[in-house]
Amino acid sequence: MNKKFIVISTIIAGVCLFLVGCHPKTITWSPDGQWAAFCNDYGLYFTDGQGEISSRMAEKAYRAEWFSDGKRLAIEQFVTLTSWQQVQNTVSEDYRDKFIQCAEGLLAVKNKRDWDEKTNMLEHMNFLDEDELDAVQLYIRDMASGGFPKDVIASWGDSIEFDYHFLRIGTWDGATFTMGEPLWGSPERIWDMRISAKGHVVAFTSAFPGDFDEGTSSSLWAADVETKEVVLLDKNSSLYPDWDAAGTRLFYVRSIGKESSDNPLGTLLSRQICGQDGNLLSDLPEPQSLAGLVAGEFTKVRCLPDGRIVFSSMEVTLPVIGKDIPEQKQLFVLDLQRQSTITRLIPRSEQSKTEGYSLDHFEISPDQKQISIPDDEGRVMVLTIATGEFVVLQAQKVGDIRTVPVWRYPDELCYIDELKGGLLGDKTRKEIMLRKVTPDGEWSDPRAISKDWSKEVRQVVLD
Amino acid sequence: MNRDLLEQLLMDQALNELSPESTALLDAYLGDHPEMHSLADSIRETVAIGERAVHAELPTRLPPLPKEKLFSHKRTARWSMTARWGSVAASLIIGFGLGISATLLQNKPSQTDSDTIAYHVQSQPVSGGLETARAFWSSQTYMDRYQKNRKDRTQRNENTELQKQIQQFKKRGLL
Repeated sequence: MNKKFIVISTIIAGVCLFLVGCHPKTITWSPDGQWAAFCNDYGLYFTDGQGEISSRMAEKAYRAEWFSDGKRLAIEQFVTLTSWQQVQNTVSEDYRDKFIQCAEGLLAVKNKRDWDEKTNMLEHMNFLDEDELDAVQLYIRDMASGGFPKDVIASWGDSIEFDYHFLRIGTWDGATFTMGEPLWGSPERIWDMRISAKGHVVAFTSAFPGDFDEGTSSSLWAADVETKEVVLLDKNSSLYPDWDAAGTRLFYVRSIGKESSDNPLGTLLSRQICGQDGNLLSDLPEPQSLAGLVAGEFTKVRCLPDGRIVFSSMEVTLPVIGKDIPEQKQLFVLDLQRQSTITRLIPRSEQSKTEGYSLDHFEISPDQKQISIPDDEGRVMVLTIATGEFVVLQAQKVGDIRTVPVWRYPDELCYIDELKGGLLGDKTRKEIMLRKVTPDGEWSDPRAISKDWSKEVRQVVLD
Repeated sequence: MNRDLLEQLLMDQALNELSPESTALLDAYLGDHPEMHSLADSIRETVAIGERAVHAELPTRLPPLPKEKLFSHKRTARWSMTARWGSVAASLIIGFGLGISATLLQNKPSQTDSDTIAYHVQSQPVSGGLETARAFWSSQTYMDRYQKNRKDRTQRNENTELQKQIQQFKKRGLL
C-alpha cells in the first residue's frame, strides 16, 4: 500500500471520527405519536404528548424501539452481576468459557504485583475489553483466590460489577408493561435497533469481542421474534442500518478494513434477510454492493418508503491532499428505482451552516420531508429536503447532548432545551420540548412537557 | 475510416469480439485497402503472442513488491540465526513439553512469563459482506468496468461505422 495513501486514509479516518460522537437515542415516540418511551440506565418510563408520565416500568432499560403496531417494543435491558455465581447463571456458555479461560491464563502469569490496575491486566489480553475483565475478576475472587496475591484481590474491593445486556421484547398497553424473555445476551451494549415492517425480525448492532486476528469490531445481528433465532449477519458494519419499506432487505455500510475504524473506505450493501412473509430466511443470500463511500462506525443509513436511501458520508474527490479533505460531512440520497445515481441533499451554499453539527445522527420526519440534525452541544436544526434550506430550532448550547432529536409527528419535533427558572430567573433547567410546524409553514413556540416530572424521572433523560 | 478505429476493430477481431456482420464489413474494407494488410497482420500477430504468453485460462500473478522481498530477506536472515540455535531450542522445547504435559495432568495452570494469553473467541461463522464490500473497490472490478465501458464504446463506434458503410454500399448499388 502506498505510503501517501496510508497517510490520507489516516487523516480521513481521523476526521470521520472527529466529526462524530456518541449520541444516544433515549426518547422514542410510538408510530401513532400517542406514547413516548424514555429510557436510560435508571429505567423505562412512558409519557403522552401532554407530559403525563408513568411509573418506572422496567429497570436498567437502556434503549427502546417501537414496533409498527405501537404496542410492542424492542428493549435493551442490562443486569448488574456482582458474583461469579450470578455470572455463571446468566451469561451464555461461550462467554462463561471465555471468562474462565482468561482467568486461568491470568493465574498462570508469574508477575501479578501491578495488577491492582485493570490496564496492567488487560495488557496481557488484548482481546478482552475492560467490561469483560470485571467478570474475569469475579471468577478469580470467588473461585480461585488461592492462586492470586491477596493484596491484589483486596485492592479490587468488594464492588466488582459486571453488566450483561439483553435484547428483549416488551408490550405496553397504555397502563401496564410486560417484558418478554431475553432473545440475545452480550457483555456489549446494543447501539441501534430497527424493526422490520411486518414486525417479525429485529435488526440490531452491537460491538463484537474479537480475537487476536480481528480485534473488537462492530457487529450486525438479526433476531427472529417468533422463532427466537438470532443470526450474526456481519461484522465491521456501521452502527445504523435500516430496513427497506417492505421489511425484507437490510441496507448497511460495511468497512473494507480489518477493523471498523482502521479504514475510511466502506461499501453500502443491500442484503435480503426476510422472505415476502416477513420471516427470517434460513439461507441468507450474499449482499449486493450499491455504492462506495467514505465511512466510519457512525455512518447512518435510513430508507425512505419510496425506495430512496439516505446516508451520511464525506464528499471527497480522489486523489486528495490533506488540506482538501472537507471539514463537514454531507447527506446523500441514492435512488435505486431510477438511474442509480447519488445526489447531495445539502446544497453547497448551505453547507457552511452545518459546521459543528453531527450529520451522522440525522432523523428523518415520518413524511420524509424534513431531517433533524443535532450537534454535540444540544443545538438542533432542521433541513427541508425539497428546498435544501435549514431552520435552526434551537440555537443555544445546552451542554452534552442527552438524546438525538426525535420526530413525534411529521410536523412535530421533540428535543431537549434549557429553560431559565428560579425566583430570580438565574437558574436553568433542561426540559423535553415539543415544537410543531404551523399551517402557514412556520415553527410554533416550543412547548415543555417535562416541567412537573419528579427528580427521579428527570434523571432518566435530562440530568 | 480513421486509423484509430481501424486498429480498434482489428484488435477486437483478433480477440474474437467482433460480430459476424462487422467482420464482413471489415474484411470488405481491407479488400478495398490492401495497404492496411500489414497493419492487420501486425495486430493479429501481437494478440497471438500476448495470448500465448498470458495463457488466459490461468490467473496472472504479479511480481512481488520490493517490500515483500525486503521482508522475505529479513525472515531468511532471522531463520539462519534461529537455525544456529536450533539444537539448543529443540532441547528446551522438549523440556517445556514434558513440563506442560505434567502440569496438564495435574489440572493446574502453569506459571509462565508469557506476555499475552492466547484465546480465540468461539463464535458462529459469519457469511457477511466483507468480500462484497471489498470487491466494490477491487482492481478486478475496476478492470471489468473499464473493459465493459470500452466494449460499449467500441460497439457504439462500430454501429456508427456500420451505418456509414451500409450507406456507401447502398450508394454503390451493392445493397
